[in-house]
Amino acid sequence: MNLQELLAAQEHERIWEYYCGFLDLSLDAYMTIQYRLMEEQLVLWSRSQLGQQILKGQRPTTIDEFRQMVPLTTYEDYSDILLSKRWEALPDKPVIWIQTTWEGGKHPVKLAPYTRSMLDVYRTNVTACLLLSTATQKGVFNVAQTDKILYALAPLPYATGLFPLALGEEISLGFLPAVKDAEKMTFSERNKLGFKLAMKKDVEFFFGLGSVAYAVSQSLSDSFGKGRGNGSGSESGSGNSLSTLLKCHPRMIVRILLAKLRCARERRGILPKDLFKLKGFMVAGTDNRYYKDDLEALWGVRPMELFAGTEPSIIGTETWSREGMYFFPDTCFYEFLHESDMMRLYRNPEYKAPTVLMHEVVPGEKYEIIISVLKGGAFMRYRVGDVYRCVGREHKGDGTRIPRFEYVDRVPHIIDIAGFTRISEHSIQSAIRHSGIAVRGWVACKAYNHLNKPYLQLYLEMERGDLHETPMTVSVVKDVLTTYFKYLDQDYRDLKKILGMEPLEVVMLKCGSLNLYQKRYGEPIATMNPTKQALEALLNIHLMEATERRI
Amino acid sequence: MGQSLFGYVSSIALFSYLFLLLLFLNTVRNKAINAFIMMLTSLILWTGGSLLMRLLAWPDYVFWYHVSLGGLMLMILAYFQFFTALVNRPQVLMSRVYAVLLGICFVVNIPGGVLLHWPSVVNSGGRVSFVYDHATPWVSVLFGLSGFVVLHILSLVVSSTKGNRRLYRQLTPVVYGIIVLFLGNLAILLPALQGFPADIAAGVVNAGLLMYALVRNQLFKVRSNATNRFGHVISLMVGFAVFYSVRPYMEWLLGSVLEIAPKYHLWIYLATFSTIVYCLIFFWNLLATFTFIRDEVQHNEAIKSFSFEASNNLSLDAIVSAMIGTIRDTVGVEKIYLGFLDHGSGSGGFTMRYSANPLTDLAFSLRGDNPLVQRLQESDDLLYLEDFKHQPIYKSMWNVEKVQLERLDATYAFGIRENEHRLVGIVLFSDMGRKNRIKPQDLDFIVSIFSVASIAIKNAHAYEKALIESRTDELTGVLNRRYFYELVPLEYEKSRDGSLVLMLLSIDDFKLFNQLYGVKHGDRVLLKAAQIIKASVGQHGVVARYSGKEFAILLPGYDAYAARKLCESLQNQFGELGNEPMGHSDKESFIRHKRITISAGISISPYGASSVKELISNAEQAVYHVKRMGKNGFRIFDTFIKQDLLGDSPKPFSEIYNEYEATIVALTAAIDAKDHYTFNHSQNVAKYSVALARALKLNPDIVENIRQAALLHDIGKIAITEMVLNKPGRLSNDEFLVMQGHVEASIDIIRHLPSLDYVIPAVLSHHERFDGTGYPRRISGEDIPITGRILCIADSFDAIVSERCYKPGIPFDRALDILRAEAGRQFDPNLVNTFIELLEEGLYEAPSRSVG
Repeated sequence: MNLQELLAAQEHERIWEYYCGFLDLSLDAYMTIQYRLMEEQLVLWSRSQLGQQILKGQRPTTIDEFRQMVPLTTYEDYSDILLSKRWEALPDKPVIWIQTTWEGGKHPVKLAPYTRSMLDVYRTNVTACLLLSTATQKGVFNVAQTDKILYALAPLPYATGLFPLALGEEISLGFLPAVKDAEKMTFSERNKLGFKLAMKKDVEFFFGLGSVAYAVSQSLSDSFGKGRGNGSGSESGSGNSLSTLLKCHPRMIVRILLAKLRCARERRGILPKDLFKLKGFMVAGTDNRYYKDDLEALWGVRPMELFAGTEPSIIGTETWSREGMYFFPDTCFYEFLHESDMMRLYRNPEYKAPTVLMHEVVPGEKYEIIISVLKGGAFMRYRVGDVYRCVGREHKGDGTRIPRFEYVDRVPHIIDIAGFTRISEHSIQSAIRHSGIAVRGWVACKAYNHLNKPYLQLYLEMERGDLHETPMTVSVVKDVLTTYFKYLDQDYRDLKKILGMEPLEVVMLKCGSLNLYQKRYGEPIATMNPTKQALEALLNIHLMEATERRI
Repeated sequence: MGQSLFGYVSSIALFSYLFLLLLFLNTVRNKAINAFIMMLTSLILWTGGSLLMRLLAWPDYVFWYHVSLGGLMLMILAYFQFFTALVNRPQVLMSRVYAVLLGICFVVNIPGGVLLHWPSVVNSGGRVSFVYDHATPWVSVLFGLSGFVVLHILSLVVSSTKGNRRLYRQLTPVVYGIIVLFLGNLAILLPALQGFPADIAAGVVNAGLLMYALVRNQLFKVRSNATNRFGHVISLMVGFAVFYSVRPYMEWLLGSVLEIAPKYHLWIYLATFSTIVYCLIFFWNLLATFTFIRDEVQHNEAIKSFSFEASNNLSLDAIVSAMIGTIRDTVGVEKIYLGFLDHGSGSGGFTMRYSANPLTDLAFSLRGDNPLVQRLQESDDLLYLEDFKHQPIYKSMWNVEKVQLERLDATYAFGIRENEHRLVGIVLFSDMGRKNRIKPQDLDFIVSIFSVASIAIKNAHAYEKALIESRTDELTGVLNRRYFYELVPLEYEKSRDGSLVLMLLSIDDFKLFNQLYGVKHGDRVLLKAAQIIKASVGQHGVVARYSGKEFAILLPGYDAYAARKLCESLQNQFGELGNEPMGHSDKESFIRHKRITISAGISISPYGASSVKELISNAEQAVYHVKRMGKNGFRIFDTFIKQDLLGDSPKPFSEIYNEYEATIVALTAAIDAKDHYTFNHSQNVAKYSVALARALKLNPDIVENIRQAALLHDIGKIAITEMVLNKPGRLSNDEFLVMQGHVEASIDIIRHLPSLDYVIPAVLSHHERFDGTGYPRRISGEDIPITGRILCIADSFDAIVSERCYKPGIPFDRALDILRAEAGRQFDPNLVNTFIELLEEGLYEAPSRSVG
């Protein structure tokens, strides 16, 4: 029985137990599921060509042996088989290949195979997220077959495109716009039509990247705020004109009129929360913590964050408390690489870094997550590149006895901006090289503007000689680099286009800063995301030198 | 009104059938019940059609005639199916054939009444009667077919009730009913009975007989879901219908015939109605008491019956079979799988061993860590698997495990416990028919059955284990001698019409093997030997350990040729056994073992034995014969062996020993080259030992054995340095230990010469003292082989009298004193006295001074 049938049979307790019952697991029971499914996966993977290629003739018989024998892997280890879609070399036959960009990789995209069993687990867990997004307490949820969902995410072959398909196997919710129509539209068209339909028919769920949801909601809000005669309102489908209003569901007409009345009285613009009463609001991607408050203010509902990725599929979700996320026990086998070991491994790729398992994580500590995809998945001991902080091993409010986490960011050598693009050392290097600007050295880090929104801060030290030959103002450098970033990275282009963000800020370093820093501290500063102290020291290095000489 | 009377009779019959139908619709169905319901339906069609025909009801009487005839034909088929189900003789093909033929007859008859034309309506004086006046020869087709089916039913009944008095008694009224029905329908064609509804009358008689069979003879037990209230409501409704239909007749009877005043009519009507309803309720009660069984009553009966069967049985198979049968019959679950804990593997897994259907695939098992097993471990209740699939623990199921459950279509699972905590069995239910879930009362019933079963299974397990242990040889795992003796007469009886081979296999020189390599090693050889024999015999016979080193094989149906082939195969495999690594350690694995051979004796019944005793005795004699003829062979017992044994002319061992003389000479030459004294000493010891052995009148073979042992007894001194060997003066403790090691050294040399291993016992024990203080094994008295005791005396005497670098030769008389003094201490007193006598008789020759 799927969710729709269970709802029809009013089996609410069974629904909760089936989809969200993992929240009631003891840590031992959780680990039993982890170990058992990993044992199954180990058998499947070890006998596959892919597994044998990575195992290099070794034959692990236990999970501990496997963890000892197999080093942590990256996409490079799988690319020859996965990029050529050699399914016969995989542990199980995939039914769909999911795609994502491979920033800094040897190929523009990465492909990840999904087996039928993986999709079955995905379907159950996506449904769990849907239920939890509406939950007000344990066992209390509010989902109906007639509900409609505004879906602001990319269609197939991206991982987010699986969501409507998988959910469709459980319950026939109405997607705004319909999935088959949405596939043919651009991102912007999809959002516009989605809101237009939402205005007509009402909407109960909203699911998107935090940053996108914010941008879309903001534009909707702005369009109302600009008032009549502006024109942009009708463009964005806000339904200000009478003809548009008359096409709406009577309930929506009443809501629009009441909202206008209330907002006029309160002397503020119309917000989405004035028009829609969302049952569930889900956000995925990075940097969500910088958008959640704003989104709550706009929609009146605090978004529920969930963890998902192309390689691991959907792996975790928050609950009604919104106080940390829980990992699903049947999607991946989770290992955690402590922050200190992660940094050591970054400096020394040969380092055999130890990992801990779910029952060994320590609250307050930050870990890079290492996943082995269960149910015939290809990736084993795979570095997804995300860092989480364990916020507790149990939670009284949720009544849980399993660890919960919060998303910190990508690993330091990757700068992720609003979940849209992942900028690596390699991509910055490429942009600088192609731009032809005579850069002597650079340091990049993720920074946040006055609105607490993320951007890329690039510190550049120019070649001393060239400064006299070419115009090299900050704005020129920024424009040139932006051009090349856009050229090299489609997602970077979309940042501006979709979110309206200016993701790059350039700061010129005084000539000789990097050299001085190295001389003073004995090693060069990390180019990607150096610590705050290191960055501070770099910026003040000349001042410090001068002061010391004077002394 | 006479015609109307028959109409009323018909309507009463019709309502009676309807009453039964309504009651039976609310029962738990099986094939017999379904056929019975079909029968009642056909009776209703037939009677109802006939009634409406006689009432000339709309649309016309011909239509109702066809309905009635269709009901009749359906009834023939229903009767056939009812009887085949009742006597449990499925006749699917014939049932279909009859259905098709009757269907064709019915359809063909519709247009023109070719087979049985509808009756003519004759109206004479206001009385309407129906006359069958268009009978043609074709009618015989219809009656012929019906008669054939009736005969088929009768033949089934006769063959099924043969020897079953109860079934015969139960079925007789129903059979009479069929015959009456058939005759009644035939009677309507008789001119004498024109206008009389003989068929309906026969139907009424049939209904009466049927009810009699149901109530008095308890034709079959029906599990009804109907409550008493339901029965009473149906009685009331049918009673009202009957009353309503007979009321006009009553009105006529009371007013025109009996002329009773109208003011009493109401009371008479009421009394009549009450009587009808009372009769129906009475009949309902009869059915409820004798035919319908309530769930709880049936459950109690089933539990009682199963408890009795389980408590009186120690066979696991029988208990499980009874348990599965009880649940299947009572609850209606078609497929039940039962698996037991794998005690042997220690994995905690469960292997399926039983099923309600012999054709089900039992080749699957559940791992101990399977979430289903874990879940059953925690629960005492019947687990609904749909619920289980919605629990978080289900997430840890492997795909293959999920597929397995899906394939089985398992709906429920239950864990059988040995005690409160230990799960010893798992039951899976599948194929629940149209039911999705088991009823709550059935759940309780099943749990009760399992509770009874778990105790019985525990006892059966314990009994089975004890039984196996009592019948099995602990070391080798084959049957033991005691059980073998129980089996032989049984197999002998079973094979009276065929042949039975008894093969006895005796491992040659096994005692020596134990002495050479130790008992532990010997046990391994026995285990390996048992494995070889078991693997070779397989399912063709039984293997038992007959004695310490002997195995017995009982082979039903084998002849001499097949037995010989098996024996040759076994001999070849045993030959290889010596070359296989036996031990676990490297050192043990690389020891080259004495070759293992077997002597086999074969006895065959009836060719060579005419009784169990003779069979065994002949096999033993055959083994003995092979042993005497030099071992490592086999012999099928025949009269020649008997003669041989009577003649007792074995190959003399002296001949065998002569074959090894060259080896002995070579070895003694080796010691001579190293130490001439030891060579001379060995020759002397051989001389004294042989003389003593002969004086003791020992077997010539043993004498020869002693001679060779004497020549080789100090061969180990080759390994001792000359400094120690010829050291003047007293040996230090360490040097003495080295010197003592020559015994083991001798054995180490000889044990690698399997052809000379028979001298080992003597060599090994020639330094043992009679009082148990010798070396290396510190054995005493007669535990020391006689060959060793002889060698000890001869060896000591020669050492005493001989002059060595570290001592002078002791005079003969003094030497005799020493021998006497050591009698009972170092030497066997009896042997040493004989030896002293021999010496005094001149056995000793003083050595010439030049020697040494």
